[in-house]
Amino acid sequence: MTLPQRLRQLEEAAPRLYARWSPAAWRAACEGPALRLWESLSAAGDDGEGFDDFLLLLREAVGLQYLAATGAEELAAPSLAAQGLLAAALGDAVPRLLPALRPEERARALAAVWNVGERLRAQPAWIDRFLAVRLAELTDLGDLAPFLEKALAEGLDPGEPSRWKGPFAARSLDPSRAIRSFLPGPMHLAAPAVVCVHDRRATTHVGVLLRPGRNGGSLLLGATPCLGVGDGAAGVPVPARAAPQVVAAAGLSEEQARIATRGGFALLSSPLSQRLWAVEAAA
Amino acid sequence: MDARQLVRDLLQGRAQVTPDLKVHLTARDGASLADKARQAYWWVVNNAVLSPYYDVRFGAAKRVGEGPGAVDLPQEYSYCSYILLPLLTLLARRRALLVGAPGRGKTSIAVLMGLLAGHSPDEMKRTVQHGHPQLTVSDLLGSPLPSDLIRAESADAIKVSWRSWIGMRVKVIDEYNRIPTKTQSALLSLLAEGYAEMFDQFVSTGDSAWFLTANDDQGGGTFQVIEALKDRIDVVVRCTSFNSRFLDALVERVESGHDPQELVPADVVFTPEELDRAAKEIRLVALPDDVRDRLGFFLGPLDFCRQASELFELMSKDTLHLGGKRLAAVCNESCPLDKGVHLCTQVESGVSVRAILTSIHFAKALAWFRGESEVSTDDLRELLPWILHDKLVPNSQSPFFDREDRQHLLFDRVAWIRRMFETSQAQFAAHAPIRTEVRRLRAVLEKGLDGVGADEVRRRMKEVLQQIETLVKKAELSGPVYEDLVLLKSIYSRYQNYLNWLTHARP
Repeated sequence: MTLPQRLRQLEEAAPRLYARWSPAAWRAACEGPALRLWESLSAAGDDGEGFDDFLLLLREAVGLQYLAATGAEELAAPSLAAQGLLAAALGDAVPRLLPALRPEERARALAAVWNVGERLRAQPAWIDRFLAVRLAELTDLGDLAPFLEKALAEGLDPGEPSRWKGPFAARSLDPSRAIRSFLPGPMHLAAPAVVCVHDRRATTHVGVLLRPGRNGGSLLLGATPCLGVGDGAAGVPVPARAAPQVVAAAGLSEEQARIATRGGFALLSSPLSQRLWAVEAAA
Repeated sequence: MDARQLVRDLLQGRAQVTPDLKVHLTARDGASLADKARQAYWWVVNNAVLSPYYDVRFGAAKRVGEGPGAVDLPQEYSYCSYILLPLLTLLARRRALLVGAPGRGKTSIAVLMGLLAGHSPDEMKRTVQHGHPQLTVSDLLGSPLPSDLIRAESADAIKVSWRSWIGMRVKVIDEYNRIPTKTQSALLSLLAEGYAEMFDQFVSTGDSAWFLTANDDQGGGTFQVIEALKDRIDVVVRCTSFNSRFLDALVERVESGHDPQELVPADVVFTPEELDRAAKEIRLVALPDDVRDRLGFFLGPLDFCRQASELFELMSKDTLHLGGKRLAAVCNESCPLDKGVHLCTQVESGVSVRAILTSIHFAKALAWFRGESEVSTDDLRELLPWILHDKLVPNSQSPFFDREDRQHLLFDRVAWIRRMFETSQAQFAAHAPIRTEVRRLRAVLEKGLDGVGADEVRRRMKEVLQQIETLVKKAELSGPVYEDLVLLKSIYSRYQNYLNWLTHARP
């Protein structure tokens, strides 16, 4: 059976399986991730092991609206993460990384992707979105579980209580790379080291991971829905004596909003800029 | 939260790897059944039954225009009763009558409910019972095996071959008003008692939802429908007319040759276990005191007629009917109640306990469907017109209907019942102080009388008496006041009986 025949066969059966079946999303998924995976498997002279499993999972994701799109361009990596880890995995990570796995490892890797992605939907929103964004860093699909553990541990790590002594190091983050017109507004912690930043005017949000410089520094997680407030996600005030130094480290004359964590991180915004500044107090 | 443990848990999903290294997805579980019901509803609305009539509305509405052409736009969710009510009937396992002109899709929606319950299209086609003037009891229920009829020496040795539709979870009786009266009686025992009997053998219907259809509900069929059968119908669903703006969808159906009934998606089909679980969940939805009180305030007084008897307990429309009178014979200027205000004048008789039970059950089903943990007054307002549609008969000679702008209410029962409910709710607030006090007195009694001394009983009786005196002297004897007085009198009587028992030799 040729690829177009197989795709048509899967599509024809779908309306009997899924009440919310979207032909447009399926076609976008076929023209995007499915075609990319097929081409990379073919280019490597691979026998295509795992491809049919991938198509079945892709169809299930479209049928259950885990993956939504009206065109193939919507299935690009940054916007996929906003739909959750499963969408990011099926739309980007799997087509990118599956061919590198040995054929006999592929089914297990696909099953793991599906299970994690589907079950994450029942977890607090921040975990799914956070891991979906971090998935772009994954380099080996066979290492999914340890990768997720490490990423999750970073988000959950409140760090040792900081005494807010200098020196302070600042890192600038640009949310306009995720949402062109984003203007930073109110912020709240979604997890001990994950901040959800709301737009000042619109109902859009970006996520930020506050991470020590030695581990790669703070990271913009891109556009997300509001990440909510998870367990242990309570901000702390920056001590009055340290506040001027924190603002100065960011090079700001005026701040719009600020949130700080127990581990000695502060995230600041300015009324005159689209940027965010993550300031880290020395451990 | 432990990251390692969480990831380990996340890996335990429904995707499994088979020995031949293929991925296998098992069926989804854990999804809410109410979500699934809503998904089924939207699938039917968007794909199977093309109906733009969103007449079940929640929350405030935004009115555009005035007078008869005004349009109320919902600000929260709204639904098509034509699809919602059959779905609730399926989930709550009740009995619905679908009425409407031929070709409006009455049978189609009933068959769709069967498909959502997991029956196949072929099974549904084979088992729909088509009413016709020659339909015999044997045609409907089954017949004894001919060989047994010859050989058997007693009735219990005759095996009956029961028709397979009897055991189905969804039963469809098409054009039930074309069924001969004798066969209707057999249908009645199935519908009402859940079993049928033939040659000393019984067959049970099991837990099931019933869908009956009729071209109109005013006896327009070949045979008059027996009253008892009509009374067993829980809800009336009025099929809507086709909206010509959906012609393109019909064109597409003709061109593709697809019938939506052949395309019911697997993820909106309920398994028998899911239907059982949904029925249980529905019964667990709470009916808060306030909503219960409002339902009682509306339904209770409908049976009241102060002209029916000089005896307090017999001031009921039943007294009139048992005496061969209609309400119109006494509901005239000799009754001092304002016919424009009091609802008792509008209805020929009150509501049965069966209808009240049905109302409660459907209200719970609707609240469950909407994802609520308790019933709201809105659920009642939207449902009662359909449940009471055939149960409340207007007193067409009531002065209430004399006004030209009210005469349409005599044939538009949905609007009439909804208007009565809204009138009752407006009166509820005015009557609330009395009702609250009566409820308090009842609650005191319901705590029990164990160990309560004679002095305390006398004190309580005095309280009840004072309340009765207040009502009798200050309030007009209307339906709601009558209901409270009946209750207060019963409370007083129970205290009096208890006091007699305490102070006299025990009988």
